[in-house]
Amino acid sequence: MSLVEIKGLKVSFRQHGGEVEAVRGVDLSLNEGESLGIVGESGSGKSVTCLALMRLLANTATITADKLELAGIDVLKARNRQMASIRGSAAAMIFQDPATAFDPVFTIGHQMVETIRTHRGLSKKVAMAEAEQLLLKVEIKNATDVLGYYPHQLSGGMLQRAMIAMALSCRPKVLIADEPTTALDVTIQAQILQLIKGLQAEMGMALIMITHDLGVIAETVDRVVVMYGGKVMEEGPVEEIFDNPRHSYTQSLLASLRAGETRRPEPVSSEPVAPALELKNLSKIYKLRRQGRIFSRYTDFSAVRGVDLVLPRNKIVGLVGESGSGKSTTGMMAMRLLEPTAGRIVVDGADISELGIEALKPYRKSMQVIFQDSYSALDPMMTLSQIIAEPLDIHHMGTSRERLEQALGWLERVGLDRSYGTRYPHELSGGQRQRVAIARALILGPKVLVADEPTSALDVSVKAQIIGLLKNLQTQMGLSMLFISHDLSVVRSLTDTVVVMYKGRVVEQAPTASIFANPRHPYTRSLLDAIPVTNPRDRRKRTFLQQADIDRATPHYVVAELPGHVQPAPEPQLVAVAPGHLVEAVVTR
Amino acid sequence: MIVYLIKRLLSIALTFFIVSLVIFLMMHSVPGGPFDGNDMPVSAAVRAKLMARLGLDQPLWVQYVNYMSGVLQGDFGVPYQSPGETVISLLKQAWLPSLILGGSGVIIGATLGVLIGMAAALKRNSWIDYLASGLSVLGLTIPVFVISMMLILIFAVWLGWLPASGWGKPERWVLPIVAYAAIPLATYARYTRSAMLDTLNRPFVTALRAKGLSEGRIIFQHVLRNSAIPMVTVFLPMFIGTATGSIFVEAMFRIPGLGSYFVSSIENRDYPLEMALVLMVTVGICFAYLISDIAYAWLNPRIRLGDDAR
Amino acid sequence: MSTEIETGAAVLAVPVTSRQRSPAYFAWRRFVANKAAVVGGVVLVIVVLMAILAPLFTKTDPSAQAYLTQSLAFPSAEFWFGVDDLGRDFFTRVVYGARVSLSIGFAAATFSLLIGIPIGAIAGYFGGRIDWLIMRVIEIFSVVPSLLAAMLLGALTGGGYVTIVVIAAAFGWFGVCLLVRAQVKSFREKDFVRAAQALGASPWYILRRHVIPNSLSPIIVGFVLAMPGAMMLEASLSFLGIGVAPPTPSWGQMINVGINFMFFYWHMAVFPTAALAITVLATTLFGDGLRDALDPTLKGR
Repeated sequence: MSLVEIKGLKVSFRQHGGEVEAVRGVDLSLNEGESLGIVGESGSGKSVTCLALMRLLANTATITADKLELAGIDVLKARNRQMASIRGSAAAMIFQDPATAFDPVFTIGHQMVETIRTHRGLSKKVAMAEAEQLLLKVEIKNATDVLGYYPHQLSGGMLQRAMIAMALSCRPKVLIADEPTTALDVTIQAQILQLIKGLQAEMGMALIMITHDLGVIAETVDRVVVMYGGKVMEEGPVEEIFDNPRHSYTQSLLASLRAGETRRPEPVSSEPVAPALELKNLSKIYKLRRQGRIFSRYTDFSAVRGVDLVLPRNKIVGLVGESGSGKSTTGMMAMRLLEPTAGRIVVDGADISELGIEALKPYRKSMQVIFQDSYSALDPMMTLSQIIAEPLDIHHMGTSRERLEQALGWLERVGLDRSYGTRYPHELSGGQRQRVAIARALILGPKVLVADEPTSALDVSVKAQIIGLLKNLQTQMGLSMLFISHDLSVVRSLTDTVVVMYKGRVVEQAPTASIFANPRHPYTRSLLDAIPVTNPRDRRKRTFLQQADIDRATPHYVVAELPGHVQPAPEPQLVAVAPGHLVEAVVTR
Repeated sequence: MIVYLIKRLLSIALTFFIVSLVIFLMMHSVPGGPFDGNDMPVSAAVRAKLMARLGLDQPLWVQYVNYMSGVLQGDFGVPYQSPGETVISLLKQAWLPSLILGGSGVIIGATLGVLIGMAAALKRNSWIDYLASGLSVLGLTIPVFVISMMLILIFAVWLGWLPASGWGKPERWVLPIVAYAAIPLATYARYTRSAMLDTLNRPFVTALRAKGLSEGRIIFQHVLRNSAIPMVTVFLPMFIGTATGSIFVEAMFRIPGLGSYFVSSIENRDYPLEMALVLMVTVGICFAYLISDIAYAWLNPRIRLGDDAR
Repeated sequence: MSTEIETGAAVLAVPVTSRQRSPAYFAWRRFVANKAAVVGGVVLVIVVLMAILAPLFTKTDPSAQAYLTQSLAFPSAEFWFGVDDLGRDFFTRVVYGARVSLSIGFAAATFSLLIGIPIGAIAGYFGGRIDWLIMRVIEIFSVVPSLLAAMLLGALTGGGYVTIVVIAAAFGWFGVCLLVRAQVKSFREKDFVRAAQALGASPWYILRRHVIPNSLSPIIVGFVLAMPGAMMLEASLSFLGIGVAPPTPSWGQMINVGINFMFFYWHMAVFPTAALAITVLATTLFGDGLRDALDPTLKGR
């Protein structure tokens, strides 16, 4: 039986000065038990389509369609009460940001019970027991406690699970998941996806998975619909789409996805020269205030603990880890934007750890940074040419005319037309803004560039373009780059060496090829295991390690097995198990 | 939460003392005492004696300490303008009119304001919306004495429906209560409307709809509860506005309440009376502050339970 | 720029409009869409012009008691607003009253800015203890009812123009301070500030080049919104007799006198009341409209 029937759907929004067409004629159908993936970049209309289906769009939206049916009900003509009765019971929706899906002033339990009682009319007590069962089903171990928690007391991953539990509480026939894992770490993402698939199979639900990530598609669905600019570009079974994409847009999406599989060619090795950047035993300890009875107590939180890192000349080192690993903190300390609690930073042989602002200024010319959020990285009140020329301005280089010329030259170098010089940041797309940020960072010709997740906020195809740009510029300028990211596929295609961080320490470090071919540390392995597949045929079931498991699985070596001189110690330390390949391990006699 | 409240209590107590000290110093630091007015000339000797008797010749800090210790025991001294009574007994009669008129005005105004604000938020761009915006702007920008003036002009002078002044029978109460209600009504109409609109725009409302809850439940259970927080925080400034407004309302409508005593005490440099009134107002305000803090802490689970994530 | 991952770039190119739109343009568009604010602004400009150009269209000096024989005359073609109890042309007095109110409003707002901006910027930029201290001070100020304190001060110092400006500024500065502080705080965390630091810019450079241009909107809004409060304060104090001294015309004063006559000579009360209400209303609507239009979170996005 057909659960969802959409024919000729058009959605437009009234805005300041005109209409914006978000969806321009979309056909879609879904039967019971099927799983459908809708893939597209931001602005493709994929979310709007499903919101229109549930009739959750604002009044400023105009919806027209030849047919718009959900669970047999004509969505265009249904009365409010009818819509309310199928929402949550016939069709349930989960969102990208779980924190915004819960009312902050009520407990999780209250909100789950509310849903259950609305659709199933159970008594409070029975509903609460149901809710507890559901929380256990989504692998929340302390379900009884969580029922009494408020949303702000739970972490992102837990909240996501609770949201899934709430969505499933009324046994919906179809679950619509709108980018449910986009904001999560890759290991958590893998767990959640596996959870969703498992629950789908168990409850015989249909699934609509909306995402921009083809990897997620490959992992979870049987049929795919590719959307761009409000229209459907291509659709078909998932193997077809991955093996034989017919539309050029689909092909380019796949190309961007698979770009992660090509390796960076080995650069020609030159004479030994001092490394461009060296971090020695870098640490950062924060004092956290915890609420005590009367006074606040302070505890120490080690964001980064004893990190050693070497960035050789003309190479790209990837610094990889999930949220809380300390990778961004390390990057910021390397730039001295954050003061280290301990450790040394050596740039091109010179120790800059203790220098004051004035003494640091000349070194600022040789190390630069680009950030993740391109919007907040550019001053909204300055034109692009002013932004790019700012470094020249700060260091008093050249006349204002010369600065303008240089800025415009760089604008072209990063792929934007010179005429853009008079525009403002808000007129650009995310990718274009990031290009401007790159131009600003490189205009002084630095030797070291720290890139803090520069592509994490970008769409798939734009990601590939920016990576390509960075690759080119690096080769042209002989830059040494520290590339911080949580996205392993990007790191794979870009870097020479990978450093893996976990909870503030380096747990493994090796040339890129070795890390992917032969990971030694359990955390690295779980990280690699969690990467979504790039081909649906490679789908597999995974087991996930908790932190305790990771600690237990720390590799143990005996002194004799290791090259070089190593001192045995009860705590884990970083040791070389092969040339250039370091692992955190416990060494015994 | 208890800890939070204790901290607030201490902070408010501190504020209270600082304010009282400042006002005390202000009053006594300006040249000119109660006997320097032209209508009661006294000879220097008599003056000195009177000053000594009233304790006005002591160093300031001694006067302050004496005064405050008296206050804490409930003794506010004796007013200069009618030495036969104590300040307390004088003001006891003045309490009632101010309380009844002011209290009713605030309650009526606030309730109406909240209702209008809610209706305006739910039916945007309808006549209710414009009415609410209009009323709130008018009520907040036009000074209270102007409003009182207009009420008198329209209802008492022109239409002759209601008496314009005095304090006695209930029909005399109507206009003053309306005048008192203006500020609370305007404040709450505006803040309720904007708080509800803000909440309605937040993503979790879409999620609630996606769960299939009825519109009514969404609004009355979820939206209202979330909007309550900003509504609570605006209680304090509104209270202050009403307190100051009482001066004008009582002047315009010739009501023998606390406000009118305030004016007369300033004109006559009647220190005890003045201080007592200012202190009472300050206490009232601090109290309102405390109540709004308590309500805020209780409504906001982040503060109630602390901010730890698990 | 050419890389191997160029396929589909043509398909994915985002068409960009070719006209330049600065943030100011968008702010203007938003402002103009708010009819109430535009009307408020226009009215305000008219009132200001009337105040400045007063001698051009009024008959006499505002204190001249030229028409004693026609005291308390009702409005007519000859005397637009009638004549007051002391034989002065009422229209003239009301128009000159605008001078008093507006000048006090501007002066108080200016001083509020002078005090509020530096304190707000310091509190926002340095945070920590300094911020905590400043917030406590503001808390104390906000608990004290401005009018009561103003009355006390006014009574003690005998009122007068300067006193009123001082009091209005003393109670108006923290509005501006809070706005500036909020703005500075939000900008301190922005990446473009960190980028500038990474480039080696000194804090002064950052303040000059980045923080201040981005703080213009709360400053402008703070200025305009500080005015109505000052004007109302003056009117209230004059009404109570401790404001601007006669014979300088002040609306508050005129209302005070007007009460005594209002039962029959309604023009004595109505005109100054209307003048005050309209001016304060216009300024507030204009200021609110400015604030909505300049809201940085809406800039062009």
